[in-house]
Amino acid sequence: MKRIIASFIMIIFITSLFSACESKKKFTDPDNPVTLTIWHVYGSQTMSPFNVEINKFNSTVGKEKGIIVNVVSVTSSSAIDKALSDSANDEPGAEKLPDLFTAYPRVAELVGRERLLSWNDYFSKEELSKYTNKFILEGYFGDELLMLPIAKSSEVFYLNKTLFDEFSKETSCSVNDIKTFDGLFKTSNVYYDWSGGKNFTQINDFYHYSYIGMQTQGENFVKDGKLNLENKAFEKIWNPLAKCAIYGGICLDDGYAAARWKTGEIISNIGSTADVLYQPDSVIYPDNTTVKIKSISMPYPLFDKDTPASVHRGTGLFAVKSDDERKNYAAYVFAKWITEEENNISFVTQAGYLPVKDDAFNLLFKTKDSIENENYRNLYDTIDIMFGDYELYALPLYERASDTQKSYEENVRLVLKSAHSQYKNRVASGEDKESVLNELTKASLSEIKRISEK
Amino acid sequence: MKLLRYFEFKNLVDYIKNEKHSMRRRFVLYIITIITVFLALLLLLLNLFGVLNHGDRELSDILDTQLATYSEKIEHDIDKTAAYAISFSEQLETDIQKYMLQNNLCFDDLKDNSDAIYKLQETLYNTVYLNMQISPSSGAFYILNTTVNSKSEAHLYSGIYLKYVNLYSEKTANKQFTLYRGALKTGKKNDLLFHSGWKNECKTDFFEKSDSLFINNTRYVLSSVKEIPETWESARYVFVPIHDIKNNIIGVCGFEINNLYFQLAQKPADDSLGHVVYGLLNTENGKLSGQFTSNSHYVSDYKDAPFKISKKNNFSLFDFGVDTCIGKTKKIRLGNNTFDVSVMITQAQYNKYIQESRRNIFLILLVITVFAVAACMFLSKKYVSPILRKIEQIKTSQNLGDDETKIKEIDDLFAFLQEKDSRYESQLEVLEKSKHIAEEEATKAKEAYERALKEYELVKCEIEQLSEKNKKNIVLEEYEYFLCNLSTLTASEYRIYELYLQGKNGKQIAEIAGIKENTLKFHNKNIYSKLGVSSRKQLLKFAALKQQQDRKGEINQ
Repeated sequence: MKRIIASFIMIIFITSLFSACESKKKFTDPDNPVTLTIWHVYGSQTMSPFNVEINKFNSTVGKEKGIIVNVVSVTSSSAIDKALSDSANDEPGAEKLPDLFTAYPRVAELVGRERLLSWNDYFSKEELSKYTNKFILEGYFGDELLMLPIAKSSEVFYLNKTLFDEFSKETSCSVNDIKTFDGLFKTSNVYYDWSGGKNFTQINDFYHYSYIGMQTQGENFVKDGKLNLENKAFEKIWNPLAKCAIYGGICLDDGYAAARWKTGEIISNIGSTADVLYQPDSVIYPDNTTVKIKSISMPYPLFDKDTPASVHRGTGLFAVKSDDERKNYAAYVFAKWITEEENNISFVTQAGYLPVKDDAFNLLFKTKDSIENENYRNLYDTIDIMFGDYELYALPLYERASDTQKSYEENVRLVLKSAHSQYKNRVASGEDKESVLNELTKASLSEIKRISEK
Repeated sequence: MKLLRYFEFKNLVDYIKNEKHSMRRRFVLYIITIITVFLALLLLLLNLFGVLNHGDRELSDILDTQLATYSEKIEHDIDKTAAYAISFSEQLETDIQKYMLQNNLCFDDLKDNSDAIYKLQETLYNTVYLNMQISPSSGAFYILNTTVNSKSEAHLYSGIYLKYVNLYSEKTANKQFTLYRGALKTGKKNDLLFHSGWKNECKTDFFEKSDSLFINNTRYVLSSVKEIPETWESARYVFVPIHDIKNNIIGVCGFEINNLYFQLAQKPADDSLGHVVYGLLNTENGKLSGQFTSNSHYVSDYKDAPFKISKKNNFSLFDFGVDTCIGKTKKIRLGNNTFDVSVMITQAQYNKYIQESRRNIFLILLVITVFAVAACMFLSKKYVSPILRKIEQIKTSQNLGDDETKIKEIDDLFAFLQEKDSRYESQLEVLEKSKHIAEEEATKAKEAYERALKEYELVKCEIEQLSEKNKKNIVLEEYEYFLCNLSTLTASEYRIYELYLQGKNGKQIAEIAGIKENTLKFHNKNIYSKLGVSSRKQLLKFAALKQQQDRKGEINQ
């Protein structure tokens, strides 16, 4: 009888052991995968290298561990800011926040820090020590690492060498002239005249231009959470820009530079290293005539030869904290995977970005000559120069930084566009070019200060 | 193999039946055989009544239901999009005819006339924009069979193609859109965002044979999934023809349903199975293409994968190379093509589902087995063990009465055995006593015999001495008389004579011969008289003499 009782106890014990194992949810389970939705900015409308990497993750580590990263949206950084803000505030028509998203640090405030996963709860100190220090510091909000760097970029100057050479042949302008902002603005105006009214260049971020321009003079563009425009330093960088834009050398329309390259509306632009992804290989004219072009990238133009500087930028990876611990853990697994040396280099070299770990960084520059695409090889040569000689500044974080940046961009375009329009009209009516230009430049400075104060 | 198994089983049965086993082993073997046969029978019955395939059938029913619902939804949604496209086409036809009349142009006049084409685009832009806004799609377009430059290397179609940029859901408000195809001026005039893959016009191979699709008065065509050039997207298109005033097809218009939009718009309402993938598939030029959606499953893996479908029992097997799925398909007709609507789950999920549904049955079988084994142990404990214990007690001659088995027949059997045992014991005791007495008597008899033998030997010696000494003294005639008349003795008398010769005394002889002493005396008298002797001493003397003579005679012979 004892044996029977013992047997029953054993059966009950084994059964309860099995049920205990069953009830304890595993973090990852290939038979019961956890799906993470992601909105990201790497690719926009054209190809998406990040999607390629995500597919790679899903078919390897994701499949093995039961993690599915599902790309729901590939968009621009400004669009993602608005979408995230709408979602976080439950705006009508807004979507549910994704599990993962890539965005600039400014978004943490829009979404709410308390809703975001702190990566340092999952990554060990040793793991985090492998990331490039200045990149990872950007993601800290107090003690919490809310934004994990996965790819970083800087700003460079892109030139349509084919069309520039045509222009250069007939004018005295050369590539050397456009290494500084002064030279760039002068060349832009020459091009405007030479081309019969076409813009030479587009500056994608006037906010970055202003920030770096003032940093090189030892002045802060942002003070106490507000734009600091009432000073000589700002005047010094504004006037040449305004003069050139009012004259017509700079494109003041919103939108992608790549589309304007494609139509030959502009032949250069200042933009992110990641813009290399969108560089067209030909210009299409309205009659469908297509001209193959060669593009080059050059270091960010200098404000001052002694203080070469640019921004280091790039969105990072955020995860929305979930009550389902499996999702949080899965987010960590994916974040770790995408920043592993091999995967990170594979991703960034397809997209014109920089890796985020010191080892990967060194390896990339040692092997950059093996990059097949000439535009990309040229870009990494340029980045190599800049990382050697330039001071790279991260953008300051402050309350409503996102809105401030966005409205500054709009205001600069608005003020200068209006001034350019006035300039054209007044010159057409016979007024003296130089005096009108000076007057409008002065007026535009006052106007930008006035609007920005609001 | 089956034969082999049969023989194996037969061997096992023979082994159980024929081999000599302990009672417990035989009992266990029989019980195990019964349990095995019972379980086999149970499984057979479960299989016959379809209980084992219950999960398979249940899954099949669920997928059938979901497939029916989903097919209806797809048909409804595509029909709705087609209806919008037909309306879109009618508006465009009206606008184009109006523009042609106002500008005194015919359609052929548009060729190589960039100004006229641009102005027509300007006229049609709002129609395209508004139709895109109201239609369930990710983009809208019209393309006319004309170009601004017929001499350009690539053959191009002119038109406007607008696309949404960011799709978070099919209903997201404030959707940004871009000009993907269309004149630069059209984009500038309407302050449009240019798509990074923007071009003036569409290559003809992008909308391959689009103008030859509308045969037999097909109202609309739902295309296969195509990669959208210069993007990371793939899409199906709903094409509707645009006619001129003479009813000639001069172009196509319609809507783009890209994979992301399909994923968002066709997301199933019911996903009770979890991780179910729904798809709309079709074959073009022998190649399968499809769009997929799921509430939770990752579907991007399948979007570009070459895959094939095969049949497996009630299900369709979808081989995506990276993954294998199991599900159901249903053919539906959309436009001029036949499509397969599919509902599927991965092979792993299917296996898991079936395993889960069978787990209960196997648990019941396990419980039955465990119960049967426990019952077997219980029976062994309650029936076999007491018997074995009793047998052991019998072997070790312990008292059987103390420990009762509580089984009447067995207790009676052992009581009977015990009673019989007791009887045998008492008999044994008597026999032992008798044996003891007999042994004592035998000892005494032996002692008496030995004494008598000694006496006999002494007498014999004496006789021999006497016979030697007194040989001469014996009257010859008396001895001869003795020899001659020895044969006249009766059998009884001769027996007594022999017993005398063996040295027995009168009492012993009477006892051995079973006669009374008086009878012995009577026999003695007759013996003496017949042999002519007067005493026993003389009798023994003559007898010893005769024996001596007989032995001598034997030696001489």
